[in-house]
Amino acid sequence: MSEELIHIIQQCKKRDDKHAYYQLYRACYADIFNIVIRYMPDHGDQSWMLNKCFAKIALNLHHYDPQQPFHAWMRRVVINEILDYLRKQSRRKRAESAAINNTPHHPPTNNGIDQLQLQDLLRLVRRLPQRTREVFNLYAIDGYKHDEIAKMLHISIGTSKWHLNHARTLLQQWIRQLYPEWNICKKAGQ
Amino acid sequence: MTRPNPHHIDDIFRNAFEQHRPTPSPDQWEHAYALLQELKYRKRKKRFLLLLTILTVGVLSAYLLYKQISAPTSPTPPPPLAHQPIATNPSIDHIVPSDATIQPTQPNTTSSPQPKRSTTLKKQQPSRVDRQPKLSPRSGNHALTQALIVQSPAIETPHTVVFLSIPPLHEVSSTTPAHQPSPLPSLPKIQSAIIPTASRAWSHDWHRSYGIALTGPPSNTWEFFGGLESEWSWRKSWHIAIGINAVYLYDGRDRDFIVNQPVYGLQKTYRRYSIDLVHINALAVPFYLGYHFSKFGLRTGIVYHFPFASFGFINGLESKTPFAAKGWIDPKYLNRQFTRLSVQCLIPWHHRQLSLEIQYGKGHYLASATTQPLWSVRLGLRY
Repeated sequence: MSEELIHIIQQCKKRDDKHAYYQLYRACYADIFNIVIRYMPDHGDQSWMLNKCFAKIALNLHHYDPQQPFHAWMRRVVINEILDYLRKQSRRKRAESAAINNTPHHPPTNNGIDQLQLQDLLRLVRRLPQRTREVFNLYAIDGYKHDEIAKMLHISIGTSKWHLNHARTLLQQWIRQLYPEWNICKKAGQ
Repeated sequence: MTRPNPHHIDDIFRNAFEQHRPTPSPDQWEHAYALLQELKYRKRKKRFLLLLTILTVGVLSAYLLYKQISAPTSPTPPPPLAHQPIATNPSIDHIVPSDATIQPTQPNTTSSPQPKRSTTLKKQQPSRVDRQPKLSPRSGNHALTQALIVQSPAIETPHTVVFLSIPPLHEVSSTTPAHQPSPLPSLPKIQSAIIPTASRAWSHDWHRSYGIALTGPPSNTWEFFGGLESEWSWRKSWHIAIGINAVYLYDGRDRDFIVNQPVYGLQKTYRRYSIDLVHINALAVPFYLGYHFSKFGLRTGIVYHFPFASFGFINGLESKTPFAAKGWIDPKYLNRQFTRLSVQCLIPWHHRQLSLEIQYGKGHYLASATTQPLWSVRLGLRY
């Protein structure tokens, strides 16, 4: 962790300094943004959730152990906050996953895999069912293990593996449908 | 977009998101800061209300306790019911001769000596049984009068009327003739009421807690409890809980309920609050009907109390915290739905309380036997 970030965190802990919080916001923004847009399918909630996650981090800075890497702690807080929110939302409206799957598919606008843009990948990720998307995000992008995912999502390890395999299969199919000339394979080993 | 291994789906997505580094706009920052300030305000407000609740209950309990113990009491209780003539007719005033002289009856100081209170340190296990309403001299007189008015079959002697016109005991004390020996000044009851409690508890996961508490007098109407408890575990987590428990014995009869029981605990990574609002002994078998609210969940339950045992079940739902998965808090206690069957056996003469708890939760069955506490010692001064 850089000395600058340590100094920013100390400033935020010591006093209610708007400038220090702004520096922290800038340092956290990219990570929070990338997590939120992957997990949150609804664009309307993304901005609010991003700010809420930042507030959660800022209010719980005194829980942060300086011996641990800050960004790992921050990602953990953000992911748990989002998963909590999605869990509450899914209780309210069970049909959210179906609604996402029924959204019209927008094909990627680029012509080659090397030109795949973030929005195209996001579109593919958002087509995944909610739980499958969560497992894929946690394992493939955020680097969690299956036992950790199982605890976080209250599922078994086998179910977690199934969701990951299902996500890879779906993504592979969708990319092959869009770009039949490419040879995309699932990553060996789970 | 460059990727080290474009054939791996995971790498494609991971690298795409890692390379995406957006920057916030000023407008987004203003929204985020406004939300942060609002959440800070809510947090402060919540703390303030909690502190205010604790202080209010504490001050109210202390005031009522002080008011109760500072009220003048009779040196002797009224004669026992069996030694009194029985009055029966509710319309007793119509039978009283018009020339009858109604005089206040002086309490018999020899027939019913005041129960002797031990001056030694007394070990006593706190239990719900102790909270059963006991007739104090004042309320006992009132209840006795009521019982006589309602239950007595017939009026036999005129001095029954004299008995029924017994004023409250503090009025008797104030009208004691000068030649009567004045009652000895009683010791402040607060000294005889505060019972330091030290306890230690083990549970199946090697949590150990140590605590000390000050328990107020188990009087007819009010009882308060204030305590401090610390807990350590092998996970090097700890918490300090401060609790104030005010019990109001409704109407001094067979009903009591807990007015408020806030517990404020500090732990390494979280705070917890618990409030038990309802505790009713409205039936012949006292039972507990209440809910336990904390930051993480809600519990409901019913516990039946018997003289030496109590059993019941508690059903609850506890939710997740962002820090649970990091290992700072044992996830076993979080993120679960549980139903707890609690059986407690109270053995007052051994000063111990054993409790057996069986739990089963979502997706798994957990049975555990705990002792809570394994031993408990109460040292107190009673007069």
